[in-house]
Amino acid sequence: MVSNTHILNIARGDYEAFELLHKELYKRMFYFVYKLIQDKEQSEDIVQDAFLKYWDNREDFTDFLSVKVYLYTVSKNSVLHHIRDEKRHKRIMASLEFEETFSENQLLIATEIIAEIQQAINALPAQTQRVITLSMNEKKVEEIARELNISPNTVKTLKKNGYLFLRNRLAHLKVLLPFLFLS
Amino acid sequence: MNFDEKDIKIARVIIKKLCNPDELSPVDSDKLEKWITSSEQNRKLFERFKVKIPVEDYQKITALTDENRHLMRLMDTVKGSSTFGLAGRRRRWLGYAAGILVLITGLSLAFYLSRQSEKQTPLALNRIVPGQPKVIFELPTGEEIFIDHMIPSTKIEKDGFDLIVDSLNGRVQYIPKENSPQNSPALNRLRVPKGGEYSLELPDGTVVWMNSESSLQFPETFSSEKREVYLEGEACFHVATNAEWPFYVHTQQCDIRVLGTTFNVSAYRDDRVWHTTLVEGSVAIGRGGDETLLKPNEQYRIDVINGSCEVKKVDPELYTSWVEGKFYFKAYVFEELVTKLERWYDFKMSYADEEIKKRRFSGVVNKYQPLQEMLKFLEMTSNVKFKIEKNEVRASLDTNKEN
Repeated sequence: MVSNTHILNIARGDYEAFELLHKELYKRMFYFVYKLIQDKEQSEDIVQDAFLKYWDNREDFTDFLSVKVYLYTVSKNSVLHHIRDEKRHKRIMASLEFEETFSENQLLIATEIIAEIQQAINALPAQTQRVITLSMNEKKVEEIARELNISPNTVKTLKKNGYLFLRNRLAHLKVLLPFLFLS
Repeated sequence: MNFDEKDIKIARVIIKKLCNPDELSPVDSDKLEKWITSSEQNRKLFERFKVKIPVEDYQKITALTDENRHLMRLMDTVKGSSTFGLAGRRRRWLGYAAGILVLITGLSLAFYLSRQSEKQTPLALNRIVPGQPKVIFELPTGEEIFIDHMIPSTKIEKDGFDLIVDSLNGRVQYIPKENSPQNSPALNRLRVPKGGEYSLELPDGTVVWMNSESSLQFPETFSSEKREVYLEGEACFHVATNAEWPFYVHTQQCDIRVLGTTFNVSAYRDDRVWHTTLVEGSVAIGRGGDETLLKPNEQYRIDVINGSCEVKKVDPELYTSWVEGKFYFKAYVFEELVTKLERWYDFKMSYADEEIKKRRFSGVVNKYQPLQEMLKFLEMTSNVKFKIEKNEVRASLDTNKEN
């Protein structure tokens, strides 16, 4: 997990800490941008530019939260630069797998929620990961059992254990709540 | 609309609401309620997530891109740019960045020169560096394993357990072997020396952040009835919830029964006041047969000298900011602040003027900077000045300064 210490190390030019930050945030940044422009190559470039821009300005940052906000902001601005066409933008915002039209802020919030939950899921055993993913997708126990070719009772157990684990895992977020700014 | 930190914070509140609705603090509940009612879209998004979290969609989309290839490309550019100027780099920011660099170098050089000629700055001569992740793991047999930031992340295998050391994060994970005896009461000890810090993940998923000069004892395997650990010094706990498997933190002055939660315990032998601060959840503190239940934002304080206890409302950030790499102090008596600094920087403070001890200071400072930066900050906000000699700092009143 990335902490403010890593951000301070990055400010001093620590490559390893920067790689860790990439590991933590790359996927969610890609998801965020891809949702807006739905083009793989361009999304990769935009995210790359955002990380580079942060590296260029790394000395200005002392905490993880503001780095996150910065990366999202830079990416969003590049995207807006990309999509000048208002209609196209509207259409894209409406296609977030949800029926309603959401704003970029809501997309950011959605991305953060999904990414944090996904990261917690990654720590589960493989079969439990599959059960949880399907169950979060509104699949019933019987459907999951059929799809994975296991007994409904196994699904129930894995589901129960999986959710218990996720709850504890995600509870750690509390401690990471950001504090006041540095002097 | 621009993004700000609130967007990320509200995402965290929503996760909490979805995962642990009972543990949501009143402040967070209120924030969430305000956010939900502030727009119809927000409400829809929240309702949507209550039913379905599109992790499958996330997995599909993120599978399109190759994270490692992207990282290699990024690191090539980053490293290339610092070694060979700007090879392969987009040149857009070049002019801009170089301008700033020159300007800053120019400024700091001018600043440095003026300071040099104005007065000798004793602070610049000696450097006392802040603490670093380091820890000693003591087995019941007396064997000791030293871990510090110099050793790479690794897995240490022993007869009864594995230690997974994450050097970058200063975290060690203790995993008993499956065939190790159940309910083994022999105690391991994790000892963090002066000028160190470390966090420990226990087999049940509980995480303990240990501050300088602290030690935690825990059994080789927890008993099936309860989880018990013994603390000396200061630690911040995040206990994995399990109603049927209570967690106890024992200190010399009191026993804390934990009901799934985040809290900080400060139990330093040489401190007059020992305290337990609850961030979230609930804990019960037992002392001499009495039990006191704490609510979030409350602190239980024991005066070790006269034995009195009280419960106080506090800002928990004041007591947990050390986990986040900060010293956060509000109207602290200087002497108390110094005790904390001494544990972290490993130096001794002496006073030319006793009166300084009782001065009060407030502020938030980054605890990973050298001591002189910290002292400079204190000098700036008061009329106390400092002189460093080897491992000793002398505090005196600056008579040139009104304050």
